[in-house]
Amino acid sequence: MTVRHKLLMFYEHSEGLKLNTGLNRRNQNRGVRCIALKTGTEIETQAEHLDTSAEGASTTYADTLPHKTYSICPECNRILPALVYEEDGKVWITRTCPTHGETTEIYWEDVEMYRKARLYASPPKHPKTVNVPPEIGNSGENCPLDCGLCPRHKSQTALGNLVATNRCDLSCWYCFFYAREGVPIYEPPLEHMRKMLLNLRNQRPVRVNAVQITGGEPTLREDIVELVRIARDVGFEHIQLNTHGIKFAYNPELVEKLRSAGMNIVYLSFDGLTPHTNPKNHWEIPLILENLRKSGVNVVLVPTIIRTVNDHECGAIINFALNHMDIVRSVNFQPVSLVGRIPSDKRKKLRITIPETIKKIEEQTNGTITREDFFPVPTVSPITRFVEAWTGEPQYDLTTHFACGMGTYVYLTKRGEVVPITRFVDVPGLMEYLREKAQEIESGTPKYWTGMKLLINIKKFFDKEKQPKELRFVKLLVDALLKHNYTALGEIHKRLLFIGMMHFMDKYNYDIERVERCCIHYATPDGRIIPFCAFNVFPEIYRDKIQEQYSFTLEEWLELHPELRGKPEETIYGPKYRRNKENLQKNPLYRDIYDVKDYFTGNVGR
Amino acid sequence: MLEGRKLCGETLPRGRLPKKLRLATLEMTEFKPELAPYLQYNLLLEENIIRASVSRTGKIRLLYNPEKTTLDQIIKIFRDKTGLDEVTTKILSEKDVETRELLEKTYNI
Repeated sequence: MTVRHKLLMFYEHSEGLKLNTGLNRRNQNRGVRCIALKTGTEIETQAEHLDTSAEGASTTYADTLPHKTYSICPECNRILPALVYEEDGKVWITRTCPTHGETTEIYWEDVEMYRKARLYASPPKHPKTVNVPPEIGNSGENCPLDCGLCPRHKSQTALGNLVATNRCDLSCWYCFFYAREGVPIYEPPLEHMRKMLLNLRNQRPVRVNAVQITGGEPTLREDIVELVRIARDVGFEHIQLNTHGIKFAYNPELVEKLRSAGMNIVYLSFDGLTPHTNPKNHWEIPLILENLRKSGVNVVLVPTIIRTVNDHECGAIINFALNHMDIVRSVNFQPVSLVGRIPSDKRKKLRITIPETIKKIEEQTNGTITREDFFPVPTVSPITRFVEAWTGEPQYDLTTHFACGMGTYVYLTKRGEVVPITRFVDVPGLMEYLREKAQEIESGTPKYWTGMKLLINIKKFFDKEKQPKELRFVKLLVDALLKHNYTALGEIHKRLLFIGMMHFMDKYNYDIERVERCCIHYATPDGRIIPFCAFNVFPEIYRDKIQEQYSFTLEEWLELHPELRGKPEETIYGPKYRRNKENLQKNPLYRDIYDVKDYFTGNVGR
Repeated sequence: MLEGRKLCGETLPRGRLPKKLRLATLEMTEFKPELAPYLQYNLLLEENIIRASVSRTGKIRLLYNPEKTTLDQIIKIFRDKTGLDEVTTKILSEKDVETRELLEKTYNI
């Protein structure tokens, strides 16, 4: 019997299982009497199987391994007690469904990185607004099957997602949207989109300030410019367009119109540097970047990382970004989410998690960027807390689960050296200091006294010798903390490249502790706001079901677009994109864009 | 045909949903609390069930499209699906609700 079997057995039969809802299932789970659904078979389990070696398994969020949580059966979606545990230097999640048996999946591929990440977990910050009508009264006790947001959700929206359309002119096999793309057409009218945007924006205690217009492929909407303008009118300051960008390659006017309307970031699919690793838009990338550059639109490169497909290009992608830092602000790696039913051997082949992606970066940048440079997303929570204490105004707090994402900044010096900021900033020390200062202000110390101490002491957390000479990082940070304006933050971004990663879950590695802290939420036309990993992992009860209710049948679509009557069906739903590779490769930009300087070895060229 | 998607003043579009939905409150005896999430999931899988809430005490609140289904049909479906033949179901209340009102309460605008 393996360690995980022993531990799981303990978990299944131990007393006092503390449900994530806060309910105590002590009596319900003693000598568990499970009904095997559909078959009606009863399974009696006995307390004598209890393995006392697992008695120390933690239940508190971010506590030590082994750790008890809740997951789902990937076959029947039943919510099950689960265990996150260490084995062979890796972190795994396991659970057993009475009907479908055990599912064990890799959770994080490095236990040491997990141990570091959990130290930066932040306390929850519940939204004060919920989107569940009192008639139904979803309380969150069946999380993640009763999303609203409900009163139990532990994070506010950091980034609101708005699906502009489910149509797409590509059909990428690894797209989590692909299965239901296109038919029937989901494309709410602009006035309805305005309501959805307002719904997102009105969240309390802090208004949502960032929205990503996504799809499908959002640029297929003819009124996409107007939609961006509406997002701006509603009050969003950060408006991203999640796109493959192909329309931008051929239509620079569209880029300019979108920029003028308020789009300030293009969240650009970019899965690698070769046609093999990036079949989506490899040939168009040179034209896309050129046109975005002309309009001065910021770009986030978004590679979906898949083991054995493009994981050998993590370093090259960062290098590519460094070569285009005049417009590329960030690379946001997304380890693949294995949606749908994927057999175990295929999962092993394709699955990659955050630590392994970081190790690939370390290897492929020749140790320039290392695993020690990365910190989990909620690391920055003390900054928020300090600003909140300083201003007296509620601030957005990144209370997302520590295992959802990690990131770092690297600075590109004028001499072409890549320096991660952790080489000259004591991140743990600085965060601890800011946490203390926030507490000081909260407990009544005059804030200007604390501010003065901060101005004097903050320098202690920066190593002047190792800091690039031209970078005045302390000043930039103090401006951001005390002036609390986006100009200061924008200034930091212009000098640094953010390397982040966000690993969206699938049914195999699902951890309910993660989804209840999710901070990336979809606004839906029925008024709900639904966490990303509920919306896309359970499309049958969220995404597809809701979009079906608000979709157009072919007849309705033709009623709205009479000019399409009599045309072939492909034209009606929007034709698939067909590229002329030869022409695209002949463009001088093609060579220019991909012939890059290698910042990690000093070589030039592909 | 497209009426459900039109905005009229402050009215929110209801898509394919009818103007009125039916809200039913049920109570299940001999209820296994650990099955509440699974039951909720299976109810939501039904196209004509718009919302559902299954508490661990066995109280179920359902919002469904009365033009397409009946409560009896719904009860039969989830009994068949879950194999909970021994479970008895008591209907506590049933009433119509305006879809528009429900949407207004869901939105924070």
